[in-house]
Amino acid sequence: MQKHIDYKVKGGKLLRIRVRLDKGTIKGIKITGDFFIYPEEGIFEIEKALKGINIKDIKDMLDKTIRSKKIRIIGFGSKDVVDALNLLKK
Amino acid sequence: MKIWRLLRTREDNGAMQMSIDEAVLIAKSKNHIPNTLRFFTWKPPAVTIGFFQSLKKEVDVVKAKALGIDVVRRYTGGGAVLHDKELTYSIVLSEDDVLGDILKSYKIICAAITNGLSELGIKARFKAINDIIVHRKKISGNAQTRKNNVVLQHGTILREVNVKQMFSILKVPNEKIRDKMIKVVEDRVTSLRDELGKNIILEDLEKALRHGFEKVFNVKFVKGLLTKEENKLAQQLYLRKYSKKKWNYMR
Repeated sequence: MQKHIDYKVKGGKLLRIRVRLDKGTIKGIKITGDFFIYPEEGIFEIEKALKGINIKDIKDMLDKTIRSKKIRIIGFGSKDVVDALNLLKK
Repeated sequence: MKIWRLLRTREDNGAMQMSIDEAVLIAKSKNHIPNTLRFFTWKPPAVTIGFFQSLKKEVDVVKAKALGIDVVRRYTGGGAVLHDKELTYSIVLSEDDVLGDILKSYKIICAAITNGLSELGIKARFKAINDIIVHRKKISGNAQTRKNNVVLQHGTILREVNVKQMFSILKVPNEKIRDKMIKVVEDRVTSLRDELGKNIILEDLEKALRHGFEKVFNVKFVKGLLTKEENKLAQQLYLRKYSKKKWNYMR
C-alpha cells in the first residue's frame, strides 16, 4: 500500500516521502521536498538503493550509499528518513 | 582586476530562463565563456519548484494555469517559489573563484547580494542555509547547483510580495490552517517596497547588486550577450527539457 508522510526536519527542510511497503520491506520510495542534494542525480541512487530494504536497515543503507556515491545532502540526515518512516508505525 | 561578463536584465518566461541558466552553466563547464552574472524577470509570472519536489504535491497546476502563471521545475534544489514582482540573478562561476564548501559558497555569493542591498540603504544579512533576511524577514531565497567544477547559483530579490496570491497556487499540507499559514508567512517575508516605502527602479536594483558582486569578488563586469552556442543550447534545453511534462512532472 502506498503511503505519504510529511516530516519537518528540526532546523531543516520538509521531507515529503511516498513509500510502498510490504511487511516492513520497501517496494518503492520517493523522497521529495525542499532540500538540496549534490549532485542532484544522487537522489535516484538513494531511492534505488532503498528498494528491497527492510525499514530497520534504512539508515545503514543510506549511509553506505551516500559514502560510496559521494553524495552530499543539505537539509536532512539519514536519521530523519528513519524517523519519518517510523511515523507510519504510530 | 578580473573581468567577468554581465548579462543585463532579460524578461522572458520561466522555462526559457531556466534553459538559459543551464546553457550558461554548460558553456562555462566547457570553458567557452568567462564567469557570468545574469539578471532576469519573469513574464508571465511563474512558480518554480526545486529539483526534488513533487509538482503535484506542491502546486495547484490547474489554478496556476487559470491565473496565467507558468510552472517549471528548476535544476536546483530548494522550495517552491512564485516569481512575480522580483529581480532574479544567476551567477555562473568556476569553483576555484568561490572557495570553500557548498555552505560557505552560499554565504559568499549571498554576501554580494547583501552588499548590493546596503547600497540601497537596506540592512540585509545571510541566514543559512540559503536565505537573505532583513530584520528577521526573508527578502531573498537562493539555490545552487554544481556541475563539472562550475557553480550556478540563482536567487530572487523580492520587489513586491503578495503572500495571498502565492498561497492561492501553492498546496498546503493541511487546508484547515491555510489562513493561519498565510498570516505566518506574511510576518516572515518582506520586499524592497515594504522596506523602502516606495517602488524601486529595476535598473537601480540591478546596478546595486552588480556593485555588490564587484566588491565581494573584486572584479569588474563588462556587458555582454549570450554567445551563439549558449543561445542554441538554451533553445534545445527549452524544447527538450524545461517546457516538457517529462521534466516538470518528473517527481
